[in-house]
Amino acid sequence: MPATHQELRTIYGELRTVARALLRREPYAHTLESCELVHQAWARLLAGDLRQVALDEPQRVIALAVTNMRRELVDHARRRKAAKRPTGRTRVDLADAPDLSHQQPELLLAVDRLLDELEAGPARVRNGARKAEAARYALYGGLSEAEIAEVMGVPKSTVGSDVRFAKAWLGARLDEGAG
Amino acid sequence: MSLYVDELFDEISRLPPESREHALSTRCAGFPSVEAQLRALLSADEAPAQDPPVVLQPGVVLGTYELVEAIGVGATASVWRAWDRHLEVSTALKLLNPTGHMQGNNAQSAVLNEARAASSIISDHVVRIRAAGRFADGHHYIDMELCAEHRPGDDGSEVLEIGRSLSEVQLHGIEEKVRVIAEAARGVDAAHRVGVLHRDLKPGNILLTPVSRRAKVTDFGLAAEQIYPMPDATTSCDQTITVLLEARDGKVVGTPAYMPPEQAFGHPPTRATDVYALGATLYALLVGEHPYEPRLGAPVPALDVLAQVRQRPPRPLRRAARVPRRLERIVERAMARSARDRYPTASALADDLEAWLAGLPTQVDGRAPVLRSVLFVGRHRTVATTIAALWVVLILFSGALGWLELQHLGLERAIAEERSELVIIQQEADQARDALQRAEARRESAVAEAEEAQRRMTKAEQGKDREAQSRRQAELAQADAEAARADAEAAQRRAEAAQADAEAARADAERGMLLAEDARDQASEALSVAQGALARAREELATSKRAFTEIKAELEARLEREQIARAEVEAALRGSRSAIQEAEQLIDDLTRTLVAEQAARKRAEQDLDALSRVVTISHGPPEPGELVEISHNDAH
Repeated sequence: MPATHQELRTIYGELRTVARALLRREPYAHTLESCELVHQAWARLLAGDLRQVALDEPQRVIALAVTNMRRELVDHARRRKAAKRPTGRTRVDLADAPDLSHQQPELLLAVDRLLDELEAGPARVRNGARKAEAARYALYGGLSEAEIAEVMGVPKSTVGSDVRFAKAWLGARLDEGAG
Repeated sequence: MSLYVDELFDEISRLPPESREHALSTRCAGFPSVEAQLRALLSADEAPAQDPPVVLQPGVVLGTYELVEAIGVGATASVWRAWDRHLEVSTALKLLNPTGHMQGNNAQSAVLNEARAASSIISDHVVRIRAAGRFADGHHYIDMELCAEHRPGDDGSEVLEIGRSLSEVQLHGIEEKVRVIAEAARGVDAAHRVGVLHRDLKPGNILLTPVSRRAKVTDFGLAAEQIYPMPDATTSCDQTITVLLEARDGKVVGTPAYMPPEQAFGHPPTRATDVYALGATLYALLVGEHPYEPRLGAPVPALDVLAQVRQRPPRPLRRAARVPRRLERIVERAMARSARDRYPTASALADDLEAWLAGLPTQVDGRAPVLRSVLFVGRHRTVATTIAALWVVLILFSGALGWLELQHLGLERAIAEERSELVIIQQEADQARDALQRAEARRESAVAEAEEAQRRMTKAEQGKDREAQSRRQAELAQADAEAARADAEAAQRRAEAAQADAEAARADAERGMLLAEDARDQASEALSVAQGALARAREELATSKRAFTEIKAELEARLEREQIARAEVEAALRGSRSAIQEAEQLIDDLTRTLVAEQAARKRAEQDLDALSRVVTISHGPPEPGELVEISHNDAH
């Protein structure tokens, strides 16, 4: 059963909570709220073979979770695609992906495509893959720059530059497409 | 030279807007496509939110909230009384200015951090957080419990009155000031219990409910997350400021007039930081001025105060205002320059403030029994005398109670003993009854046995007749045996006599012996017959055998006595023989002596002869006396 908008919001919140707990090496079980969907998702991730991985390399689990979140959001946006279309000048708020997926599904899909494009490394842009990855953590994982820095193992200042560039790049490309 | 869009963007986006144009034209000279791309990027980077920020004024609707009136306006945020259209309730809406020092994610994380920190605190003395988030126009908000109460108006209607902070209201007397700070300390302690530090406690952050006059602490968790304005010469020392330190990443955030030395030096805040700030707040309430503000002086700039805090303690409280000595000690301990010397927790401070209010001993009083009793009497003037009387009654009563207790114990012990004896008697009775039953059973079985024995006896009686018969036969056989024995003895005697008399009688004796042997054979035959006939006769025979043995033993003893007598005679004989030998020995000795005397006499006679011859030849016959003497000498 596909996740509803509200469920996506909850999962998104839990993802960030658990990601923070993992990064701080805190017990994460009690941070989970009683949302069945979230429980199942994290139970699969954390109770099975991935448990030790979660303890040893939280980054990998977070990366996996963020990938799953991205798929959920993109799926959700695809199902709602017919409803709305992106219009006008756009500023991408990378902090509220579930709302974006729900209210502006077309925009989320466009952003996702553009991130793929950035990952491939457009002309005159270095480290496109790293920039896209950092942006995905911010967009789909809701992680802060400091958290992204720890997950990716790069300096925080680099993450700051990467995310700022990625956002500007997305904004410019979306404006370009709209105009 | 290769141009990278991301590198140029990184560089130029850091420049202030006015110098960007110059940088763009110089760096991208000859690369119009790169310049266009960069312009698009910078434009997107700076792109404002979809909705321009609204001008905050009463009546404006933001999300579900309708602004009613501004309660407070600060450098980074303003607080509005707002109407929540969903829940239909008045609320305090704190709106962070979208422009200024905080932007985007920083602002969001600051808002959420404050909301998270404060929403986990459970206390009546902390302003509760109801919600937090961001409006479409970019304003970040925190929806807080409105510190307000209804006050009955003169015309019977009720008016909602908004609570003000301690920096805006007048408190009545020292007691209320102390009570309000004690309540604030309780709220701060509740925050500490969930790991939240306030870091910016001051009169402006403690609200007072207007009617019930209770303290509520607000603005939790902001100090470290938000970026407050850097102070300049005009910034007052009761404003929250940020001062960057020379050390890497070091910064001081807080309000200089209320911060402890360690915070002024940029050390990480602890619970003791909040304890100091509470103490400084109480100081300010009691004195009416900040701890570091000189009396009657103009407001001191923040940086001056910060420097003073680092250097020296504030003016002693007693020089600033008339404050009871014991209360002054509490404030001094809360504001100790070394964090170790302060109250360890906010609740310890609250305890002492409440103790002072109640007239109870405080921690800073130390052990002072006199002070304690004075305090006690002060608290309970009439009660104290009553208690003295009650003490006497209590002592008497407890004495009586003790006596009764002892009596009661004794009685109880006696009852217990009686009871245990009763149990033993009961047990003994049971045992006796059992024994009686057993004896009854034994008696019955004995009767049965007796009857059985009676029957057996009757049977035995019949057997006894047969026994008597066999006994008679045995007696007869015994008589025969005795007769035979007598015969044997006679025969033996005859044989002995015959043997002793002569050789001629030997044939008779031998015949007698034969007869005796025959008789003996007959006797043994009779004996064996008797043995075979009756087993019981053996006993009698054994008895007679024993008698026989005794007789024989007597005979042997007699024989032995005779032998002893003979031995004695022989011994006597041996004695006489040895006497005879001795006599003979004596005779022999005498004889040898005699012979020796005879031989000696003969030699003497020969010597005499020889001498007489010699004397005859020369001198005539010798004097008989002389000669005898000579011979005597020779003999010996």
